[in-house]
Amino acid sequence: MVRIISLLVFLVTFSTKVNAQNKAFTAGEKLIYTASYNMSGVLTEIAQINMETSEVKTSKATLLKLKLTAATYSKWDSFFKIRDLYESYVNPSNITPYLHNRDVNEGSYYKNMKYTFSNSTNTVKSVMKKKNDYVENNNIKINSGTKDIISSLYYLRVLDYKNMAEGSKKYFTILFDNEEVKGVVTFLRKETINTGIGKKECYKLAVGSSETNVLQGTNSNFIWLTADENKIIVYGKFKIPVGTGELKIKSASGLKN
Amino acid sequence: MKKLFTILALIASFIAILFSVLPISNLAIFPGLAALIFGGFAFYLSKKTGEVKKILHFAFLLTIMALLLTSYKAFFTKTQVENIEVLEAKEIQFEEEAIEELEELDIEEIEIEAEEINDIQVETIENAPAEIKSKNITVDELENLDLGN
Repeated sequence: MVRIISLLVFLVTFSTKVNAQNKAFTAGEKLIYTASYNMSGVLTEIAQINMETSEVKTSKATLLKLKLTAATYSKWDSFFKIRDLYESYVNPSNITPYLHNRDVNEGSYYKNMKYTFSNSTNTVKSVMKKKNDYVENNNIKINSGTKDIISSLYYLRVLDYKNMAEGSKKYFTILFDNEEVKGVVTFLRKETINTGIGKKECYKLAVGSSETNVLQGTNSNFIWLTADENKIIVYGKFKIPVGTGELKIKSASGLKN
Repeated sequence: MKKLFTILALIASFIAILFSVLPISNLAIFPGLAALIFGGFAFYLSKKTGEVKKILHFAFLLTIMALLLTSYKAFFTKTQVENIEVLEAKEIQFEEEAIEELEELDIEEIEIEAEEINDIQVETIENAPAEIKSKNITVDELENLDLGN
């Protein structure tokens, strides 16, 4: 039984690798979202989340920069100010990360994590900075295919859902806070929903984690990707202790297809 | 019973007014409705005994103020992001630092891309013979073929 499961996991991982060519996004894409708190249908808008892609040229290669910023709306700033920045520099065709930066600035809390991936040796050089000039350097051994959180998020858009059976799962390994976290995405079904950019046919996915509290549970967090070539995230629903957290798209520009 | 409903209405109206001035003003609708329900019961019971206390009027007043403020904020306040200059400056700084680090990366790592693309191309070519087999070629088509000399 264990062998069969291992084989299935291997096949899923293998097929993901072969199909993993990015046809969904390119440089110049900008997606704007609103993160809200929903309690019994009453929405409270908390922050704006921007997801942008751009081209970064080095003397050796042209990479794709994936950037996510989260900023609380001004009405929240005097209570709890969030100014987070996540960025990843990836291979444009297979979304393999080379460098990841996470700068978390939430209220009085500050943390910066930088990962430099060495994909040939499967290691990551990690630098963690906190308040009061605290610096921690680490060298982490990772599994092949491990990605940071931003490239994993964009990688969801690379997967081929057209030929995926309902209920099929894809497994990911995400490097988060210097630890590898196993993530699982389940393709649930196709759904048509109303979004900020119109009525869209979407792929409904359940996202979860087998470990830690990054994403709790397996079927309490959902995301909807448009069922077209762009596969943009248009809606997200996340379970929180009281009520639900929601991510709604406001606008999308610079789409590849 | 009348006293209990009056106290509950008063507490709910205080919570409603507190929520209405906070960024979570939309949620003031819940204690606001609770205050109206409790206040309504208290008012009904008070009417029965013929004495409506002023504190109950005060609870209603607070609730109405809270609901009006909540409605105003919901319809007329624009949600927008401000003061992101620091974040924007950081983005530029991080990108400059990142490019410096990326320059030091081993170029071999980027060549992985070519290998993966080749894998995908091989898969497409493998399908080709099957398609050729299924093609119907007529004798006329073969005779008209241009074979050079």
